[in-house]
Amino acid sequence: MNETGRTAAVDRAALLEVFLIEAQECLLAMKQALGELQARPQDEGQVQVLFLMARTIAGSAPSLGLQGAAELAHALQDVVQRVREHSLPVTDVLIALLRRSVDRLREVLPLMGP
Amino acid sequence: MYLHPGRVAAFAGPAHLTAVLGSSVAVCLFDERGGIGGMNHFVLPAEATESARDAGRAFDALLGTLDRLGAHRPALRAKLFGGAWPLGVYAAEPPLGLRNVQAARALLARHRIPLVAEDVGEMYARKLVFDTDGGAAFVRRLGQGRP
Repeated sequence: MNETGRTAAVDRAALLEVFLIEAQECLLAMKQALGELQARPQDEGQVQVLFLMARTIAGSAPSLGLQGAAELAHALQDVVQRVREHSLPVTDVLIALLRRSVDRLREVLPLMGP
Repeated sequence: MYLHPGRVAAFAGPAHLTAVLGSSVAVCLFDERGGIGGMNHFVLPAEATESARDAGRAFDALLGTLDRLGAHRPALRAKLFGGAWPLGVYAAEPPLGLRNVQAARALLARHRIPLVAEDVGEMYARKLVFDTDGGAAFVRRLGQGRP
């Protein structure tokens, strides 16, 4: 492999590693935010956390070729956006759906650790 | 001792605090006279939310713990790590990592705590080990050297 090729390979490994660690941080924050939102459905700060975290995953997954994760994170972001705009109420059903989406994201990403 | 996001730890005496940092940030504070130091680990910039995992809460919790241990505020020094952002990935808006770093720097400036070292940004996740006793910090950038 030539020098340029090796640099590109190292960069992709580093990029994937930072993305996966970032994604893990985001998913953990989303899980905690969902728990707090269930206790206090009016807590818009938690909705903001969910939005920011979903957007972060949706923004970086495509460049690593993680299309499934990107699409799911985008869908999550869209749903949370509707909550932010108050066009979708926070219900137990919605929270259960968001939880399942977060769990599914954990499954499709090759994460390490807890 | 491994510090998960949203947690704070400080010790009067020697301890090694470690964290793996993606776009999250760790602020290490230590009393430059030695003996007392601590670290936080947060994933959210201050302006995003009133969450316990955000920069402002994490900073207050760390300062409060150091106060209780008897640290001298004017003698506090800071080191800042993490806040990675994959270059070129986020075109439209400031990435989470950058916002976390900016939030930490603003808090340090507001409290007039000198920032004596940092390794932030770029596209590398990091493993950090912080020695609370002398304030020494060791950082390994992950994902490098394995082509």
